[in-house]
Amino acid sequence: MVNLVTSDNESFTVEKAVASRSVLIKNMLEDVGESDQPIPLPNVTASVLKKVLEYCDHHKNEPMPTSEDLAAEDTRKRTTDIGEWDQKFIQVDQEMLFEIILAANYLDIKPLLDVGCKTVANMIKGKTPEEIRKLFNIVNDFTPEEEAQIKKENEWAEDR
Amino acid sequence: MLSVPVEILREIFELCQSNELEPADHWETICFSQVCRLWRQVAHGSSQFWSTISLDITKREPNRKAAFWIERAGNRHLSIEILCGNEGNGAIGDHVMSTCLVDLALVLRDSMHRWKSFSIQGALHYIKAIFQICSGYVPNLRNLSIEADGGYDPLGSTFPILLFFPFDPRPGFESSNLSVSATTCIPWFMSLGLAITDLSIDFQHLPAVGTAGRADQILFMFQSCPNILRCNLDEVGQLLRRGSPGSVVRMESLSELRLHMAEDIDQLLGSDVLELLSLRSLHLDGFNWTVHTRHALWDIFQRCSRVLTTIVLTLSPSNFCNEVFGPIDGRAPVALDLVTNFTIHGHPNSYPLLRALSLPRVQELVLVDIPFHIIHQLITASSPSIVDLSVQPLGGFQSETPIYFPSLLYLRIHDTLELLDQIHAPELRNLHLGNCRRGNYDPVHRPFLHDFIARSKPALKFLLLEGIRVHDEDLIRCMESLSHLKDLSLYQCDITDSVLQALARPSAGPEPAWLLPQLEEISLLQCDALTPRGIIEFFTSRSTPLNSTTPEMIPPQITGAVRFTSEINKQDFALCKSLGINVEICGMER
Repeated sequence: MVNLVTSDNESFTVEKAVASRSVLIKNMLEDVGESDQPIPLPNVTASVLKKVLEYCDHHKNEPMPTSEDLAAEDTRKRTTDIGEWDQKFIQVDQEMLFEIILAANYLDIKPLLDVGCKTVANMIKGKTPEEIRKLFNIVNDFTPEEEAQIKKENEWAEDR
Repeated sequence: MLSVPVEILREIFELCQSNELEPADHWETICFSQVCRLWRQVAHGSSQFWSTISLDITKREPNRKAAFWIERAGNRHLSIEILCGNEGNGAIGDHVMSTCLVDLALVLRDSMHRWKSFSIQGALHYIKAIFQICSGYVPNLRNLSIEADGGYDPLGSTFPILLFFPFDPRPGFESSNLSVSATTCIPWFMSLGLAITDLSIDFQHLPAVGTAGRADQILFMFQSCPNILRCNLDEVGQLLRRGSPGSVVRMESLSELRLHMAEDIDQLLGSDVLELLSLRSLHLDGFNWTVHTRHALWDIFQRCSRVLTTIVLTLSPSNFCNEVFGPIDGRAPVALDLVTNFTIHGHPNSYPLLRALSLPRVQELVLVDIPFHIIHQLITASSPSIVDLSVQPLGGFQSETPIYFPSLLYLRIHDTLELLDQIHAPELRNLHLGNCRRGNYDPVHRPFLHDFIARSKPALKFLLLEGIRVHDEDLIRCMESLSHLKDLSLYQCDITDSVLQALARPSAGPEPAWLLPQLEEISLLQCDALTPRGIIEFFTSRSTPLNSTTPEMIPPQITGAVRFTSEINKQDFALCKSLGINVEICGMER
């Protein structure tokens, strides 16, 4: 078993197979060897780690992606399709979604990062810039010169 | 969202552009770059988003769009798609179009060394306008596609179908796996031709007049690309018809040649036209069988006998020539020692060639509309190697001793079902017997299927009978020997419910046994003598075996499809559906 400690000082004791879905933790365990020392995760809160561990537990028996898998993924066109269980898992509020993405990035859990990125990609696909701003509460911070250039860019899509 | 690192934001943008089914929608990139400064920075800083450029001449300022994209693509190789449209694009005048094309071509010319893929579609003279300016080296080009389309008088003899390519691969260069496809034009490549390994031309809509000169133009096209490995010419029609003989074009590397709807193939394949030394695969579809065709094929078979592996010769439904020429050409027999796939749809003009042919290593053999004695000669000589045989003989049948096929796995016989009497194939797994030409069918019933099964004892897994007259008791007798059969299809056969009753329950007696104990799929299509009730009872019985059946005797669950030729009552229809049967009524959608 492995003991993980979150940024808000909560402890999680999990199976090694579950924790090792994170390449970061897997490498730490390999470096430290057999030890009862807790592993601190200063960039992850308890509520997010709970969710991440739920994902890791569900996928613990699946083979880890190899470097060849990742290289092959780079060369072929990727889809934004998400598996059924993963879709349900990632149905969370926007704040949690981005927290999961950040945690997956920090903990180096590529499949979970993929699920998060695909979810955001599906949210913004086909939307106008204004709709995207509204969706994520993003401020339009363009200068007047940039606005003028943007107007020109949009003309390329118009008929003469 | 703004707390997400830049590399993750880039990953999300990339995912939005990735779709296996649809081409990248470049507008997504523009949209993201207009959300906020950070997003714009990320989009503009990711050169891969800008390396595919779609340009529509009918939209505003395609030249500025091209320049914008090319600048952001950094040093990446470019995929460029241009849509020019036809002449007279609505309200846009030809003059405006020409000016616009020149402006665009000037922008594109500076990036030619980075072109990886270039495709252009529109009226030919617009395409020419681009090529007049874009001349230079294209060392990275791998795909070139030109689709010239309408907007001209198809009978106009002056239609400019020749397209000169001013591109050069690179100095001192020979071949670079460049694939070229063109529609409605005859491309002449100049030095770019050296780089071409794959060439596909669709000649549809080319003007019919003045075709005599077209053959020379096509030959000149071949001359300009001597390193072609694979060539596909579609809708050739009469374009190969030559006025006078010219010089021979040597194609040393060409290994795959496919001609579709070419009437005069001898005008291209004759030894005095194309010299083919490496041809491995020849595919001719919809050609004209004349004595000249035969001579050309005879020559090509002889010249390429040591390399040819695949030959497919199929006719168009109308077959242009019905004239039959002399049977003997006084030519030497041809042994095609390496051919493993041979398909021919026969014609009287092909028979002398077939009689002179031997295919000692053929594995897949398809012989359609060939007299029985020629089929017999070909399959007898090749029987040890044949794995897959399809035959549809013509004319009379002579009784012969059965031929032994030690490797035959797949067999399809159409119309002359008596041929089955000539076959001994103990390894056969897949049998399809069809009787399409019902008018020619000999109504005298013979238990040919039973005799074949008794002789060869094949462990058949698939059996399809199509339009076959077979008595119930004969079929049941056959089934007794088909214990490995997994898939049975009966289409327009005159069997009755008795066959299904025999299949529905194990035989009585001290050692009860099921007929077709491994059957998993059954199709009963337009077998008019079968009743809905008989079908329902069969499926019910096979899906719920008797309680007395021991577990090891329970046969597999059967999935099935049934097509009735007339309406059945709603209750039977619902019952069929509840049993998982896929039910169709001819001419109706359920």
